[in-house]
Parts: sequence; structure tokens; C-alpha cells
Amino acid sequence: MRKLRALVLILFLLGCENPFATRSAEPPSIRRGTWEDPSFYDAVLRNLQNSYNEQIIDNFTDSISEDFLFAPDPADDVEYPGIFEDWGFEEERDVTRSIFSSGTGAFIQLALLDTTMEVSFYASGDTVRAEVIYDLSVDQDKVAAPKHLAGRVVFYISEKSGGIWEIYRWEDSKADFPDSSSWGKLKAVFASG
Amino acid sequence: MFKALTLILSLLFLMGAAIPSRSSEYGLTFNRDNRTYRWNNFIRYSSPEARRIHVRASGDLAKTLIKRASGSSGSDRWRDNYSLSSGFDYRLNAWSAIGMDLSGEQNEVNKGEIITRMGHITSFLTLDPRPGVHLEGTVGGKIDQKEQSNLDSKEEGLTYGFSGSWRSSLPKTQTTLKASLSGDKLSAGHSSVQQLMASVKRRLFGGSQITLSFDDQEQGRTNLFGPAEAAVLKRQDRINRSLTFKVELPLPRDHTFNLSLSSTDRRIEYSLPEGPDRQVAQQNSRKNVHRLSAQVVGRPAKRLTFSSDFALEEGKNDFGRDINDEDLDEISLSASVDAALSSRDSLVFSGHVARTSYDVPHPDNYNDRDSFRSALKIGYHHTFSAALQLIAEGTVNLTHLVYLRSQRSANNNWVRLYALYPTLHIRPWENLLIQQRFSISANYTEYDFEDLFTDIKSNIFRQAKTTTDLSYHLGEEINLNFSYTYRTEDFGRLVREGGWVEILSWDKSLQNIEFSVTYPLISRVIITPSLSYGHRREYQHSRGERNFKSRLISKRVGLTGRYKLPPNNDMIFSISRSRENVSGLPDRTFDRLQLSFQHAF
Repeated sequence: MRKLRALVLILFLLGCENPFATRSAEPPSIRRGTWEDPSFYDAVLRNLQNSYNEQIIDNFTDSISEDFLFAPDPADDVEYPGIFEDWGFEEERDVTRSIFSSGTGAFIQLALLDTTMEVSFYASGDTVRAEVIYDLSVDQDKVAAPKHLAGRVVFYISEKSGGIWEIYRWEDSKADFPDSSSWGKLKAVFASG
Repeated sequence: MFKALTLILSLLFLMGAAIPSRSSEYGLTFNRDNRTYRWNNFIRYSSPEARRIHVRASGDLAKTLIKRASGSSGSDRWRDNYSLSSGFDYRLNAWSAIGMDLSGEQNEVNKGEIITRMGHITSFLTLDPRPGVHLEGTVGGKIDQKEQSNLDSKEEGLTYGFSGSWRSSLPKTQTTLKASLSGDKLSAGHSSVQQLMASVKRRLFGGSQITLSFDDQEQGRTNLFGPAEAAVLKRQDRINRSLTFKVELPLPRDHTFNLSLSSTDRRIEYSLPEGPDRQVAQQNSRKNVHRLSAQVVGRPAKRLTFSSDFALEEGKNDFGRDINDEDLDEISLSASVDAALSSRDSLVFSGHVARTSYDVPHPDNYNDRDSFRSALKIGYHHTFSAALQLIAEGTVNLTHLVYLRSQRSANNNWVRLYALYPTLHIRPWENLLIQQRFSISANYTEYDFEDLFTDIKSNIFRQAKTTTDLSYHLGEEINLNFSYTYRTEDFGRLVREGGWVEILSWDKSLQNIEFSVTYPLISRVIITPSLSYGHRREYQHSRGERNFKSRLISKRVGLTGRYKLPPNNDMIFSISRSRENVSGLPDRTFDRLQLSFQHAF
């Protein structure tokens, strides 16, 4: 009787669809974008730049870590109260996806210039503090959003398991010339509509 | 008005702080990290809680300076924050108290570029009319000022608050109810925070029990968003809501069955105060997430603990913009077994498998995708003797990301991670601990449609690492610490030629030594000098040849000191200099400094 029950159970399970199976994918019709394996920290910044210029969200999210934090320029924090509270991975992914999908054929040109890197050794994995001057042009359909941004960013990049480097902290500062706009302002406008 | 409030606060603060008390303290810290300087000062006073009248006061001053880089055309960036607060509460009788709080705050960006000021006065009444019941009401006034590029704004208005809680404990039923509402009504708009929490727990037959709980938090505020000359009035609403039903049912042979059904709703919404299209954006929103979870925990045998968990979840990621909205459903199953094989051996086995599917309704969004994750872990712990223990762990993690549409499927991939971590704990003497850790891991990333592209993205990363930590405790305040790490890793492309073949791209090795000793220099002064040395070499591989790429040497010397003057003073300083040398580049030096002083009155 026990054997019969076991046989019935096995037959029942074999007849069921595997609930953990993934669905089939269509073969790719477009290229996958410019991507370097982020097995060196400097590749992370090149991937971030290329993800913006080619507007490929996966290549952007693969450059930031799950414990990511964004720290805006103090002036942006005052001008956009409450928006940057608890700004982590999900907020960064969602707002960048919105920037990339804004308008039809939105043009984005990002240049990361003058990079200064400081490496810190840790037994668990190294971390890098990268200070970068940026220049970003975004042609999108939001009236309130800046079209040209410039400033200074400090990226903190760490080595994760699997030898992959990812950005875990992004400190934003706007440029010092009058009427300049920062990356934080672009994020704030897209986040708040 | 703001100046008057600051003056009143300062006087109250000085009156409070001038009274010596065990719960009053002053502290200051300074730290410098490369070009960022931070100063913090605080002073706090609090009278003993046991008295009928309780007085408190505090003041904070914080400054941050980010100095411009040498050669940069920019200027230094400043942020200054000042705050003062003072207040008291007076216990009228055993069940009621009254009180008042005054606070003022000023935030300044770049020495006057933007200045915000806030002043707040509030009075309150608390009532505890019967056991398990607490009521509190507040009323007050508030001023908000903002100065920016000669475009000043000022708001004044009322603040209010009410909260109540009730707890009842009947023989078989526990009920908790909490409700609160607070906010302000200023000339430009208002903000509010409301919370409602209710929970009922009922014990049933044979040790079983059911719990029903509801939690709702809603936070809304109307603010001017954007620079002063083009600011737009918008409302931000943060909503977190959940309803949970739980059943705990004891089963035969020391087993328990737990069932949980929950529904959650989390969203941040932005809207215009009026107009036909009021809602303008949503952020980080997961709406109508329903979750069913069933768990069995038990001890099927004397030395065996077992638990399993099955969960189903469905919901919606709603961004308020049709194109990015997505529906999700998830199924997950996990189990773990913990076996005490003998008094010296134990074995842990755990496994987890999950699949999440995202479906995107908008035809121009190609992010329909599935994600499969599985994790297997085996751990073994053996005690040879009190002086020697072995902990060995092995893990296998698999993930498969599948984008369904042709526009996104180029990056579909499997990631397979295999790792083994044995650790030895050696304690030859009571005051010496040596921890020897080893780890080896291999990470394979294989792209599903690799054959369709000319550039190879599939890769393998391998790492071997050993760490020796030694800690020697010589006396009451004398410690010696030593750590050595050796790590070697390589990375290569995976080419499908029948099976997978690796073409090595690079390899690197790293050694790092750290040493520190803590000892009392003179009476009450403890210092910790530390040294570290790191060395890394990287090689590139091309057509089977291994070529030197770069070498990095990092040296760091640091000194931390602590001066404790009983009973009330504590001073800590920490200074370090690190020098980094990369082959072919000039040396670079980085300095860090931290000072902290605390005095209790």
C-alpha cells in the first residue's frame, strides 16, 4: 500500500508543471551594449558612462550594488525636501529607467573626466574612492529637468563576491559656476514628476 | 520673531546646562578625510527622571567643509547646521502631566547661498487614566524661513498632535490599539503623519493561536520643490499599509505549523495641489502585494531540527507612469536541517529555490522577465578539543535571468557560484586566539545567446584566499593583533567549444599584513600604534603569454590614543597616513585625522 501511494505521488509530481521553471526567451534582435567585465574598478566607471550613453538600464544597474546609497549636493537636498530620504538601489534604478525612457529617442551624452582614485586594502575586498568631474547632456521631454549638468561626484566602489566591482555610494556636488545643475537635480525632477 | 525665539531658547538652554547633573554632557569631534572636514559639537542636559519636574536642553553645531581640489577652478563647499532645543514636563498627579518644548534650527549651504530656519514651540498634555490606556495631545506654533538668491520665503502656522494607545490582556486574548495624528498647517500648505496599528492575538485549543494585525502609516507634506525662482508647490505622500493574519498550530512530535497571509501596499506619490492631472509621479511603489507563507518547524528526532518554508507572492510595481509599471509573482521554497551528530560534531544543511516573474503591460516596455535563484549550503562543525575547532562550509548558488523579449534577451545569463570555506579556531592558551580561514570559490557567468555574438561575454572568476588572525591578550589593557591575508585570483573568457573552455584574461595576487598593539602609555592614556602593508601584482594574459600589468604597494601608519580622566572626561584621537605607489606613477599620500572629546558634568 505504501509503495502504491509513493508511486501515485511520483506520477502526480511528474505530471505537474515545474513551478520554478523560467519561461522561454526570444532570440536577441539587438546588441547588448558596450560592456567591460567590472573585474577592475576603473571598468565600473566606463560601464556607467556607456550605460548612460547607450541607455541600457541593465548595464547601469549591474554597476551599482544592492546596498547602494545616493548623497545629494546639500543645495539639492534643501531644494527638493524629502525626495532623497532613503535613496537606495530601487530609487536609483527606477529614476534612471525613467530618464532613459523619457521622450522618443532621447539623446544622452555623459563624459566622466579627471578621475582621481584612492585604493584601500581590506582583507575582505578592496574599496576605491573615485573622485570624478562629469559633464552630462540630456535631451528629454521634461520641462523642469535640466538639459545640461556638470559637477563633481565621489563614487565609492567595492569588490563584491565573484570579483565584481560595484558602486555602493554616490556623493554628488554641483559645479561652482552660476546656474549650473547637478545630477541630483535631474534625479529629483524625474522622481517627483 | 526667529531671533526672539533663538534668544529665549539660548537663555533656557544656559539655565538648564548650568545646573550640574550626572545626565549632562558636552562633546566635540573633528575629523578630516582627505579633503572633507567635519566638526561636531553638542551639549545636553537632562534632570533626573524621578523628579516631579523634568527639564531637558540640548544644542548641536555641525559644520562640513569639502575643500576644492588643487588645480580645480571650483570653490570650497560648506554646510552648517545649528540647533537648540529646550523643554520641560511637569507631573500633575499619578495619571497626568503637562509640558512644553521649544526648538530652533538653522541650516546654511555655502555660507549664505541657501539658508533655512525653523522655529517650533509646542505644549503637551499626557493622560494615563487607567492601566493600559495612554493619551497625549499637543498644540503649538511653527515658523519656516528660506533665503535663497534674494528670493526669501516665510511660512508660519499651527502644529497639532494626538495619540492614544490601549492594551487589553484578557485570559486568552491580547488586544493592542494605537492611533496617532500629527502635523502642521502653515501658510503655504500643510504636512501630516498618521498611524493606525491594531493587533488581536487569541489563544485557541491545544496551544494553537491566531493573530490578526493591521498597520497603516501615512505621511504627507506640501512643499515648494525646486530652486526658489522656479519652485513648484507639490505634495509628497508616503504610504505603508499592511494586513496580516497568522495561525500557529502545534503538531504531533514537537512540530509547529505556521501559516501567514498578508497584504501590503507601499508607495511614494507626488501630486499637484489642484488641477485635473494632479498625480504626477510615483516612486518605489509596490502596490497590492499579497503573500501566503506556510512554515513547518520541528524536531523529528532527538538530535535533529527541521524547518521548511513555502511562499507565494503577487503584486504590482507601480511608478505612476504606464510604461514602467510591472506585475510580479514569486514562488519560493526553502528547507533546513540541523543535526547534532555527536557531542563534538554537528551538520547543517539548507536549501532555497525561488522564481520571480515580471510582466509588463505596456507594449513599448521590453522588460518582461523571469529570475530563478537557488542556494544550497552545507556546514560541518567539529570540536577536536577546547583548543581546536573546525568549521567547514560549502555553498552552491545558481541564478538565471531571462528577459523574454528579443530587444532585451541578449544579456540573459546563468551565474553559478561554488565556494568552500574551512576555518580553524585555535586557542593554545587562554589569552591567545588564532583564526585560520581558507576559502576557494569559482564564479561562472554563461550567456544564453553567446553563439549569436562575436564578442564573448561568458566568463569565469576563481579565487583562493587564506587569512590568519592572531589576537594576544597580555594584560588588562594590553592587546596585540596581527593579521595576514594572501589572495590570488584569475579571470577568463568562457568559450563554448563542445564544452566550456577557459581563455585566461588576467590574474592577480595580493598580500596584506596588519599589526597593532594596544597598551597604556602613561596613567589613563592608552595608545594603539598600527602598521599595515599591502602589495598587489596584476598580470595580463594574451595568446597564452603572461605579461606584467601593474604593481601596487600601499603602506599605512596610524596612531589611536584614548585619554580617560575619571570620572567624566573621555578624549580619543586617531591619525593615519597612507602612501600608495602604483608602478609607473608618482607616489600619493592620504591623511586622515579624527579628534573627539566628551565631558559629563
